[in-house]
Parts: sequence; structure tokens; C-alpha cells
Amino acid sequence: MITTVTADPQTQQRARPADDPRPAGERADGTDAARGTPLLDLKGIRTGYGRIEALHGLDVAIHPGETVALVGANGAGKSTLLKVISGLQPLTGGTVTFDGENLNRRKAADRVHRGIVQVPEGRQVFAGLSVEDNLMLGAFSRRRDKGVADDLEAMYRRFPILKEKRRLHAGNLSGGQQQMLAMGRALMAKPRLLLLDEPSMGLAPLIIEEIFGIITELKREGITIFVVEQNASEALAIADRGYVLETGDIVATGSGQTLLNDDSVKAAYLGG
Amino acid sequence: MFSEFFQFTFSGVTLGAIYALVALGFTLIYNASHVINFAQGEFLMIGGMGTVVLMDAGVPIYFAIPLAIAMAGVAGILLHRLAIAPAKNADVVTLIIITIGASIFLRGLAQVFWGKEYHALPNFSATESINLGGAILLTQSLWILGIAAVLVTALGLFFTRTTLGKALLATSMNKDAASLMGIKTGAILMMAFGISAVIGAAAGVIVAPITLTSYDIGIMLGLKGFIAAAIGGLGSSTGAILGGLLLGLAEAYTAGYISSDYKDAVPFVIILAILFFLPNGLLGSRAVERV
Repeated sequence: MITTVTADPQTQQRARPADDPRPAGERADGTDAARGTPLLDLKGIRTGYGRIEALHGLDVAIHPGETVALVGANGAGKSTLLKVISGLQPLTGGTVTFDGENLNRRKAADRVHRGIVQVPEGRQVFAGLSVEDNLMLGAFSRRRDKGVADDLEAMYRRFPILKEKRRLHAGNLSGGQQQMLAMGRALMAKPRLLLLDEPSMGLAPLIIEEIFGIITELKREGITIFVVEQNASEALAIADRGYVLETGDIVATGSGQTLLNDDSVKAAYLGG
Repeated sequence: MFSEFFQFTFSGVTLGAIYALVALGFTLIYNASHVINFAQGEFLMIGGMGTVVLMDAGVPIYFAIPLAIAMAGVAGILLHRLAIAPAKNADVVTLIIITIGASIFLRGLAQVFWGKEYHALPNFSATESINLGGAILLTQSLWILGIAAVLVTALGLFFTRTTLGKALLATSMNKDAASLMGIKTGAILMMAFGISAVIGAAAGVIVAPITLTSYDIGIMLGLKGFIAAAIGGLGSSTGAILGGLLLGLAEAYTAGYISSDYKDAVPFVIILAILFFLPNGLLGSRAVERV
């Protein structure tokens, strides 16, 4: 286990009440109660495909306002964990608690209404619908909310390219534009917890920079983000905290900077 | 000569409009779930026979028709709730077999409770036919074309103008992504069954004054509607309408110029040709597959 002090001073401030008597190393390890109640609390998560278990009872906690990265090799179970949170993958053990409510029996659609919104792996925009329809469907859970039209305008200001292409079928966009659309679509739901599944997958380096720039912007706006990435260095660089997942188990956790500088993590996921 | 051609064309388009409506019902459910609902024909039967039975009970026609269509809509929703939804993890072929079972069941119920006789619904207009340039046009055909046009337009608006319609399209394109939008895909599928039952029942009612109705009309009309959908390329609404019209015209010309004995063979000859030469239908999905 790699457990070290959070590098981001802001998080540290928020995380550690001045009168907390415990030593710093204990307080800031993320799963500690010192941060207050987590927004998302995963305990003993087990799930699998058929008889093959993909996640072997892992614990993850995400606190309000945090950006947390989950890194690991292909097939480690990263996307499976995100699907467990969003409700697409059924649990065989453990509990998913969101904002104090046990979500184990809630379906994916119900979880969206509670504020858990996932940007799926590989974008998965609705290819045969227009860009604007895709964004509007993102707000499906708040379709009776009068503010949706304003939010659409705000989304176009954030992603001007989407406004330009709003009448086109989403399938005609480039990979990077589709990723922006998928993120815009998710933001239209006003997420309390945004789950990003491999946002950089299959994109050119320049576009990846742009996507991570957007994630950093969202982080600054205070949105709680859980990002799953194979591109570990980019993800850990913007994250407050990180988890390293290896064949269904969490093998390391700590602040993003710490993990970035950790030798074993470097060797395994950052290309030495 | 020309008036004959005009006559055949007109009856072909009329028939085609009915097939198109049946095909749209197939398309709707196929898109939402990849299931080919072979109980689709029974919705036509419930529409036609339901109206007959209600009128026999003394309900005036303008109440009997909407009631019978609503009854079919409920039957469609129940079909989903009781037969399709409980088998949600079954593969598509199993679900298709379930719909065949459901169609036999519905037909059996109709036979037991509504009898085996053929019934005619009265024409919607008092005048039965009009003479136009030597061709005799049934006024009921005009009703059929008008109502079919209204239904097709309404369905088109539903898909392009309403959030629920777009949610249904989204569900058909990518079910998991749709549920990540907060769309309850189970409820959407139920709605698809309901809408497609309503469209089918409406077709069953408007065609009843011309073709008569009975407990077993669903078999043939359902099959022909399916063929129309397959001609158009399962899954394409425009294709369903096109397929329906082509099929109707082919049948009418065969009946008119060759022999009406061969009329019912036409759809099956066409479907064989389509399966051999154009397995994706005329407007089937070719381009959407992305790697």
C-alpha cells in the first residue's frame, strides 16, 4: 500500500480541520473520516462476468469536490468499476452508497436522476441523432426543468464547435468532437458526480490535451469527478487523488502527485 | 385501358397503405428491441373485431373504434409486461418465439369469446363508391389513405419533435447509453409496444369495411406487413412505408392483369427475391456500423 499526504494544498485545507488531533499521514489518506462523509462510498465491491470475478471486494471513497483518478492496465477492471457505480453492471457483493443512500437496488436510469452521470467508454453518442438532440437527451432526467434551454446555450459557449455542428448527425463528428459531445451531453444532466470512462481513448495527442484541459476546467468549477484512464500520467496529473487498480484489486492509493512520482507506479503504468 | 390501370393502382395504394401501417408497427418494435413481433397481426384483429363486438353491444361506431384501438394498445402493453419483460435476459430468437406464442394465444381467445364468423364493418361514409374517369373508387379507400397519412405524419412528428420519441430512437441506437441519460429503457420498450399496437389496430379498423374481419385475419395481414417491413429493410420507417406500397401495388397488378388466384403468392415471391438479392432490404442499415 502506498499511502501518502495529499499534494494539493487546497484539498488538504478542506480535508483537515485545524483541531484534528491525528497525525497528518493518517488524516489525508482519502478513505479517512477526516474528510467528512464521502459523496460516493464503495465498500467491498465484488462483481464479475459469468463465473469470472472481475472485482474482488474493493473500497473506494470520493468526497464532494474531489477529482479522483483510477488508473490501471487494460483489463484491470476499471470500466467495470465505473459501470458498477452507474448501475450498468450488477453487484455480487458490497455496497454502493451515494450521498448517504444505498443504491444497490437502483437501476442506471434512477441513478442519473440522483446525479450520477457517466460518460461511457468510446463516447457512445447517438450516431443517428443530431448533435443538439444528443445534448437535449443528456438533460432527459430534467426535461421538465425550465433551465434546460439556457444550459444548452451555456454548453454551446463551452464547446463552440458543437454549436457549429448542432444540426449534423453525431455520427459525422470526429472522435474528439464526439468526446466533447459525450461530455456536454453528460453535463446537461447537471451531474453531482461525473464519471469519465477513458476520455482519451483513441484520440490524437493534441485532442487529448484539449480534453484534459476541459476536465481541469470542470474540476475548477467544483464538479466531483471520477476519471478512469489508461493514460495514467495525464489522469494523475490533474487528479487530487488516485487509485491504482490491478486485476480487480486496488494496489495503491494516494495523492495524484505522489502516485506520479512513485517508482513502482512509474514502472508499471507510466513507461518507466 | 387507362381507367383499368388507374383502378388497379388505386386499390394497390390502398392495400399498400394498410401494409405500410402494419410494417411500421414491426419496425417500431424491431428498432426498440430487435424483436420481430409476430403478434403484430393480432393487433389488427383486436382493432377490427373489437369494434364489431362493441357495436354489437350497442356502442355507437365513433365510440367503438377508439375503444377497440385503446383495447389493442392495452393488449400491446400487456404483451410486453407479461411476456417480453419477464424474459428480459433471453436472446432475441426466444423473444420472437414468445411473440408467436402470444399471437396464437390472442387468436385463440378471440375465437373462443368473439366467435369464428366473418364480420363487416359499415363504410365510414354513406356513399360507398364514386366514379372517377371510368374507375370506381371506394370511399373507404379514401378514408384508409387519409387516416394512414395522418398516422404516418403523427409518428414522424413524434420521433422528430418530442423528447419521448427521441428517447425511443436513442434507446434503439444504444440501450446502455440511453439508460445513462436517465431514460428508463424498459418503460420506453413498453411504450413502443403500446404505440405499435395502436397503429396496428387502427389499420385493422379502417380496412375492415373492405376486407371483412374475423378472429384470424391477423395471420395473413401480419405476415404481409412483415414482408413489407423486410422489403424496406427492417428498422427503416421510410422503408416500411415504401415496402408496404410496393407490396400493395404488386398484389393489385397481379390480381388485375394475371389472376387474383396468385394475389396472395406475390408477397412470398417478393420476399424470396429480396432475401436472395437484397438481404438488407431497400433501405436497410448499411452505413451505421462503425468500428
